[in-house]
Amino acid sequence: MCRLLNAELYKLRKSKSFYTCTILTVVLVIAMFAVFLTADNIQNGKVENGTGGVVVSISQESPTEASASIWDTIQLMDILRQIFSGDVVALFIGTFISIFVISEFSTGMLKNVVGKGCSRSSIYLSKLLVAMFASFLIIAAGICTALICGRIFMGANAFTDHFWKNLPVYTGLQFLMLLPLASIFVLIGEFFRNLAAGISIGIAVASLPVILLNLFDMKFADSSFTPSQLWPVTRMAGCPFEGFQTEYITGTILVAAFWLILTAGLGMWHFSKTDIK
Amino acid sequence: MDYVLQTTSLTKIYGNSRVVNDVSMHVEKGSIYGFIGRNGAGKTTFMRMAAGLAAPSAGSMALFGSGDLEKQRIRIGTLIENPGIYPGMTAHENMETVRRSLGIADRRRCDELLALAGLSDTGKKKAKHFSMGMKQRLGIAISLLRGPDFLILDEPINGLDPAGIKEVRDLLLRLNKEKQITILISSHILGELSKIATHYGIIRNGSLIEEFDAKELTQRCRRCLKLSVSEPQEAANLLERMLAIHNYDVPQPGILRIFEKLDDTARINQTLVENGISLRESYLAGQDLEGYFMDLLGSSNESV
Repeated sequence: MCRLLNAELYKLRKSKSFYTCTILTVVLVIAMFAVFLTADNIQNGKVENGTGGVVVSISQESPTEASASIWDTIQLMDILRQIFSGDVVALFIGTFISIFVISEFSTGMLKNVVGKGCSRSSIYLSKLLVAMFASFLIIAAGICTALICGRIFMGANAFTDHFWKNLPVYTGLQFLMLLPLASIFVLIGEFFRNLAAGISIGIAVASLPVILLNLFDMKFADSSFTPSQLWPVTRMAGCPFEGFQTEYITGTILVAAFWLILTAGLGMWHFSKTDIK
Repeated sequence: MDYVLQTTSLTKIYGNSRVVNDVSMHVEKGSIYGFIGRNGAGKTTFMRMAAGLAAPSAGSMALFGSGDLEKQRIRIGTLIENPGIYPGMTAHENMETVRRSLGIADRRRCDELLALAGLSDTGKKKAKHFSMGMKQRLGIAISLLRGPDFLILDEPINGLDPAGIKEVRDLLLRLNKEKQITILISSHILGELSKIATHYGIIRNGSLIEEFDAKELTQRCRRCLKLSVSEPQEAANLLERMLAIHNYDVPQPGILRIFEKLDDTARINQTLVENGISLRESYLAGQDLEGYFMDLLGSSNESV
């Protein structure tokens, strides 16, 4: 197993898709700040409203010099929430993991390893662990970029004691939910073994249940049960930044464990049973 | 007899199709076993099962005399269909990836094998820019990483130029003779196969129809008078009685081959005609592997 992990980490180091997805995540975060910067400049009258496609309106009117600065109205946690919403995570992580997994089948490299003394379960597991690790790194790059840009654009005031106190718990919970999400993408990649199908179905699987579960939420509106909170993507998007309750943390751990065990188990079973072409 | 690979009624079914049907193969230790069959005959599927890439639907297999296939497969090197290589990596990086996966500690092994395969000067060139022959040689180098005792090679000389084919042929002969590596090799280029194989197995529609060694092939392909008759056995009995011809065989329905008295073919023909045997065709023949194979499968129109 160790040697398989060693090999997977080597592949990760050589993987262009990993660096591309990481850079794109960083660029997207910077782009978010760029949008807010443009909006702030519009509010301050430094540039015209509509510059760069950014239109600012307050109560359906254009901003005036008396309007508050954008940087005073948004918080760094809002940016972090945006990173962990379905768009960034599902898109980049899903794309990277699909490429990382499916390339083993499409290139035929798997034939050099399967049946050479390594069990299929260990091959699958090593791939899964490194995919998770890579996902952490990609999202961590996004978070670091957000913190650096926050320092530059929002100043030291954005980093309150309250922020630093909640940040580890928040990111810990989000990384915990990242585990089953990565596992879902690995399962889909292994199952379909085709890049186009893997990427599109992976992203669809991550995003579509959100819509369906929101409908179920309405059905259970009268009760405290929220079906959408059972799905990793919606749980990540709705994770609070403060006021963490034991119940919520326990629920997150259980949801993560459930989906991780289910998808990893299914993936290992399917990989063990199907032929390698 | 020591067999490196021995299968008993090995079968593979996909849906309603029996792709490999009841194949009992015997690959002797130290041999180069040429596996021959048409496109879609089941060669690659069989080799996949031997390599552990596909599970048999029925039957059993033994490697190095043992049924513990997981343990014995570490002694096998394989090249099944296209070589498994990352196009975005160099030759060395591809070797290094597999070296790490297999847990081979000696880093120099990659360089040694790349030199053996004639790829040591590829430098930073990515595999996607390699020619077909270079990719095949890289695939062979990867299959040798663990110093296997048994190589399973599915059409390893595909896409190679004549010089490349000779290099691979020489390499395989050297591996077999110097390191006693047993080789199971399939190829469409029968002429090349006949230069290295010591044993042959012929598969048709998923079934292994013949297994023989090179000596037997020479015997079967030796010079003969080939007769196309309606009743070959009756004709053979007649010739035995009248001309004391005992050295003959009936390789397939409607064909009688005579291996003696070849300088008196006119008398043989006359004897048959005069005794009412319907003789459609008569000619002297000496076959190579390709001719023998085509005869065996009964048609020269479909490609091998």
